[in-house]
Amino acid sequence: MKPTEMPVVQTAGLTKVFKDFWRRDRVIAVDSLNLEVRRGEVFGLLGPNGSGKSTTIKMLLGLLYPTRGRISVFGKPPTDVAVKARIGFLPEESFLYRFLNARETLDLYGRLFEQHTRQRRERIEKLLDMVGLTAEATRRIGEYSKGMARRIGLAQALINDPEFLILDEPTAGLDPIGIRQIKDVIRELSRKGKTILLSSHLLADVEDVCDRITILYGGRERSTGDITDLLSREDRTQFITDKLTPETVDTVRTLLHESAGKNILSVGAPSDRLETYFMQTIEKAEKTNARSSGARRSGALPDFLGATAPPNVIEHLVSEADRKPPPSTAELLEIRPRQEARSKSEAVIEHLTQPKPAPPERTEAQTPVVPEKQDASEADRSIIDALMQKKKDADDG
Amino acid sequence: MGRIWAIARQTIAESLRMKIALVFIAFILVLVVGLPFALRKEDSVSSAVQTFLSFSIGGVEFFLSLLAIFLSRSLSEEVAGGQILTLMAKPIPRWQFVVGKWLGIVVLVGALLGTSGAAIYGTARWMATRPPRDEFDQLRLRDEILTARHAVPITPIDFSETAERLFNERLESGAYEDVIEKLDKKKEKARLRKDAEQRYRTLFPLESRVFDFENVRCDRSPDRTIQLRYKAEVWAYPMDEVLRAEWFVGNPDLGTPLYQLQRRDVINRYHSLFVPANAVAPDRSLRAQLYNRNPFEGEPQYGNTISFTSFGDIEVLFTVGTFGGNLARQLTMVMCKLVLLAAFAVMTVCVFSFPVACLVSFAFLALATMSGFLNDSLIHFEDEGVYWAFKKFAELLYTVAFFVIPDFSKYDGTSMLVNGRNVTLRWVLTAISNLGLGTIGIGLAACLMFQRREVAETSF
Ligand SMILES: Nc1ncnc2c1ncn2[C@@H]1O[C@H](COP(=O)(O)OP(=O)(O)OP(=O)(O)O)[C@@H](O)[C@H]1O
Ligand SMILES: [Mg+2]
Repeated sequence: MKPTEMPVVQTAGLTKVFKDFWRRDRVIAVDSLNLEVRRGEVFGLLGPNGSGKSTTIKMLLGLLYPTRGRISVFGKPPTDVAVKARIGFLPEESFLYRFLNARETLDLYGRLFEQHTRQRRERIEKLLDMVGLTAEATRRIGEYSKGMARRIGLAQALINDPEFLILDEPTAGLDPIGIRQIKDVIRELSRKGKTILLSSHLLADVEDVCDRITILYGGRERSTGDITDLLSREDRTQFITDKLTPETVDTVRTLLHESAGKNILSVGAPSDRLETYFMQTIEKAEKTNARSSGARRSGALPDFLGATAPPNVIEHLVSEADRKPPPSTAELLEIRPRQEARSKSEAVIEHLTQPKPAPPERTEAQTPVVPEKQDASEADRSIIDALMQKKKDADDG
Repeated sequence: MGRIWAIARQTIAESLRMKIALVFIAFILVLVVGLPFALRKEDSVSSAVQTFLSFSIGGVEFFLSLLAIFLSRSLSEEVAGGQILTLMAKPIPRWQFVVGKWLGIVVLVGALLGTSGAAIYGTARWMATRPPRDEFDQLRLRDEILTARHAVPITPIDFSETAERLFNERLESGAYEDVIEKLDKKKEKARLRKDAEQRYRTLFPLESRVFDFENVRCDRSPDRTIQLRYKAEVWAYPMDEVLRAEWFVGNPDLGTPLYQLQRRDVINRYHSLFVPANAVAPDRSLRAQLYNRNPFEGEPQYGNTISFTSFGDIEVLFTVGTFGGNLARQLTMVMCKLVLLAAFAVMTVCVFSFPVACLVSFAFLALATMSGFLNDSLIHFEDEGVYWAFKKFAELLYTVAFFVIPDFSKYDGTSMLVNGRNVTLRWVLTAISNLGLGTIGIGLAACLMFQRREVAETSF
């Protein structure tokens, strides 16, 4: 393997077991993980809470020592100090010095890279500008809001112009503008050839920026691959058009049925597809009763909540005066004309999609798994052609 | 070095802004500036200055020791607060981080010690300008406190020959006739030697005694003085608390003048005779002779017996340096201890959470300060019965503990300084090398421990 092709991060059988005071195993946080982050890619580390994302990242940085397995970062062990000059790291919480102000904070980290004073000052100002905190740079970080501190955390991670950037939940605590900015920064840096490893819960963000992802559950790798590969379904075809009226959808449906004998499986706005994939992966892992020391899927709302709500006295008295049967759902719809107008189109679509097989679970409604075997590739072309033809006819007529 | 300094700077900035250091600065200010006013009522200026010096130096050392321990909190905060994660993801070796923390503490503590030292010096000098109670007060202040004097003890006298002679005499005279079989010659000779020594230290009426000193390396010009310092007991009937006697200092055989000094001193207290320095012979020897005779006419001639409890009760002192230099040397020794303590405190926070680390460091400080005392008390420990096992156990414990824990009292020159004794450069250098070695050892241990520690593991 040529050195340029060497992966930035490679782990083999990486395992971390947290022990208790008596050195007994307590938590298997990461279990036989084989990770590979290639040069120049944006790699996403996904997983529910406590699935071992942060633990993995900490081991990559030599902040935790693996129980078993090997790690190489730029071909060196993670404890190698020289390697760290090429890495930028944003921890999952912005652990900064409360008593230093933003500029002093960045100055401290700049000094740790033994940067020359001029270069350091220059970079600090540019980074402060990038995260939009130049005006607040003389305030102590202890006074900052969570998101502001997070921005300084990001600036701090970039001070050495790292080749490899590790971001642990970079968007946590940020406002939508901040999230957008981080995504832009990631894309920009990626375009400049940097390698980026990020962990996140915001799947839409991951989907937007990542080239490859690994989904962890209970410290184990559940799925890895190119994001487009993972999400593409060979047995399906997706159209994305401008918004269609229910009538058009109806037309298309009939057309499809006539020309290719196929049904439309779902109609709606394009959905968050990674979310679906993610849920499926985790569900599958849970079904196999996989061991996890992290958080499980949340259970039902505890029944004590709202069970014995104290009666509101005034409301009680008022309702006593003109006791009426509670309004039915239909009545409620009546008194809300706007709602009804909107739900009209929905009703149409619902009507249109009536004949589809009932989905077994709610989550699968968005991309239901249909057992019918249909030859998708064959259908493709002809359907589109037919559609084009139909439209032309309509226009002419 | 840049990285170490970056960490040190950060530590200093933190302790200043978190106001830990400020509290200690306030303490020290109260101590150094406030104390002289509290000592206004002291009867003489010289004793006021002495009290001030011993309390202010001791107090500053105590507070700075506490500060050195408290400042190490910075490292445990970083581990607990997660800042360590960001720091250790930067290209700084672990050992440099540990050294940086230690350096930050040392610089801050050193700066405070330097400032307090200057303040103590200034205050002492200022106190010395107060009107003295009498001439004696003034002299004492100048020649016995705000100075640095070297002390020479009596040249040891060997009494074993005398003992041998006495033994043979007694043997021949038949004094041992009854006990000759059971006689332990060695023990008997040792007893005789002790007797002879005690006899030498005792002057019956009209007896005189010669005390010789060697290596009195002072400036011998006649306008300088040397001091003969002594403390004696007197047995008299009727009881009198006054020693009346004559000293002859100098050795005309070696060409020096002979100074005759008539004394009327309170017994069991130290007194200093000021003698022109040309009483010291060219070969740096000095002879002083005490004549047990009342030189004062008109006062009754008592049948006094003068006795010195030990030969350590007589010594010769001469000025070799200044008060300022002496203070600087004493504070250098204090600094050595603080440097070692800082290293120890940093080592503990490399392993324990702060409360635990703090306790361990305090225990270390206490043991190091008291180790001399503890060692002594062990020697006088009950040696019988159940105590024996306990003693052995304690001994073992102490041997192990004091192999690791240095004896800080060995490097405490406060009492020397307060009495205008020279805190020798050699002593200071010993402190630097011994405590320095200790610091390096502790520092290495700290670096090793931190190297092995998983910094993201907070459940320590
Ligand atoms: N220092 C520690 N001591 C003991 N257990 C730990 C420690 N750090 C993490 N763990 C455990 O390891 C598992 C993985 O934790 P980790 O922080 O890596 O999860 P994560 O995927 O980053 O979760 P999140 O999304 O909440 O950040 C959890 O079960 C956690 O309790
Ligand atoms: Mg995490």
